[in-house]
Amino acid sequence: MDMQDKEFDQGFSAKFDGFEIEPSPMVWQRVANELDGKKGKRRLLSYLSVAASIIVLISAGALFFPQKAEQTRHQAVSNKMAANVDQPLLVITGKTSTQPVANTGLGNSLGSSANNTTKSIAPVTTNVAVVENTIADNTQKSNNEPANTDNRALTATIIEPPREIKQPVIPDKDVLAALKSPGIPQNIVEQPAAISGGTKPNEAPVKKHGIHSLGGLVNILVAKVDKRGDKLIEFTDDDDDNTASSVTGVNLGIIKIKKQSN
Amino acid sequence: MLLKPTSAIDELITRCKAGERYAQEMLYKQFASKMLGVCMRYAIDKMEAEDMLQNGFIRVFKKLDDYRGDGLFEGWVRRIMVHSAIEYYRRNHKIMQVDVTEIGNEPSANPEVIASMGVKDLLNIIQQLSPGYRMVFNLYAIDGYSHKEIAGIVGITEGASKSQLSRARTILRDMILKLEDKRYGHAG
Repeated sequence: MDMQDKEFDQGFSAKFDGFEIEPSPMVWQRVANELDGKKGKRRLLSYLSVAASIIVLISAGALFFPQKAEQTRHQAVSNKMAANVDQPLLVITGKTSTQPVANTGLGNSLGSSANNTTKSIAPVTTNVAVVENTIADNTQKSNNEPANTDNRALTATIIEPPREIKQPVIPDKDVLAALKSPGIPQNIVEQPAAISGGTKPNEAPVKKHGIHSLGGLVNILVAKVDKRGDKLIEFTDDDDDNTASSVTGVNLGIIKIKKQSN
Repeated sequence: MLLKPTSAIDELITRCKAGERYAQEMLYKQFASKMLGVCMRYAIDKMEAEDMLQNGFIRVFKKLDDYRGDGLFEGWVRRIMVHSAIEYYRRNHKIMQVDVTEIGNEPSANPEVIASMGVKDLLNIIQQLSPGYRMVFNLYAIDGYSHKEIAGIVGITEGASKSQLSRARTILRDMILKLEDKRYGHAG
């Protein structure tokens, strides 16, 4: 019996001699954490929950914090125009730029400057100079009038010949109202319509923005996921020196908030 | 037999003593699989075994200064792992079963049968033992502890250790026979 037991035991110990099992990688992590004095075993944070929290915070912040009203309004007008056309479009508000062309692309102080508000929505910096020259006549006429119309008085859309506008440009109500105010030459209002008349009117609006700010980046990311016309959340994408982007639209399905929709 | 440990492991130990994290990771990687193989016999599953392994390595790193370089380092680590496994059971399974039922003669599984079995099968039947039996059988039969040592480590009397070992063997033999029957079918 004793001998049998020994053999029995040896049968086991021989089998387990050199027996190895690879531990899961988490074990070393836990050892290292404990050596560091951290006790927690569950250190795996769900990145999804973090991302969701950030979106919720941004949305809440944008909805509940007062926005920079006047500047944002101005930016919204520019954005609105851009939203209705394909990218290579220039929206020019106010008077023509007297600043270097490079500045219109990077645009560090155009929005805030009362008289120089040429705005490049898409990366068309090389074309800006040409376009400005061609429109100089049109806008020059109105140079004197819009001083009392909050810089939004004049709106002209100019496209380059080989590119097309996807949808007729419908000026913003505010802009229209402003344009109809006394002293504004009517031909300025007519101009966008005349240009857009030659384009394809039936295509769905395609929103394309360049990335000029954090808001633009978020817009593009949201657009990748949300294919609806009104995105889950939209920000201004101005290349102004305003570092903080403002929310221009929220679409939660039931609740839709959009700043100055067409 | 008493070869000096390789200078590589000595150097690694020195760096670990200095608290160098990378050296600790290297040391861990060198022994983790082997030590998990030890812990698996004391645990009911891999999750439990990994907990034992974790506690064991924490202890290894904290007690590294106590290691004098006498004897194989691996043996020293292994002893810590075994203690860690027992400690784990003391904490999580308070009651150590002391079943002192005397056993008569059972049909004995012959050694060839054990030799023919896979290590996973043997592990499986060891894990099915109740904790007290499993502990004593592992300590005595596989890890080479004496009943006196077992009594000290587990906190039972030597007599209890002996009877538990005996009972554990009986149960294991029985399980092996059943396994064999299942594998080859009944002869009659």
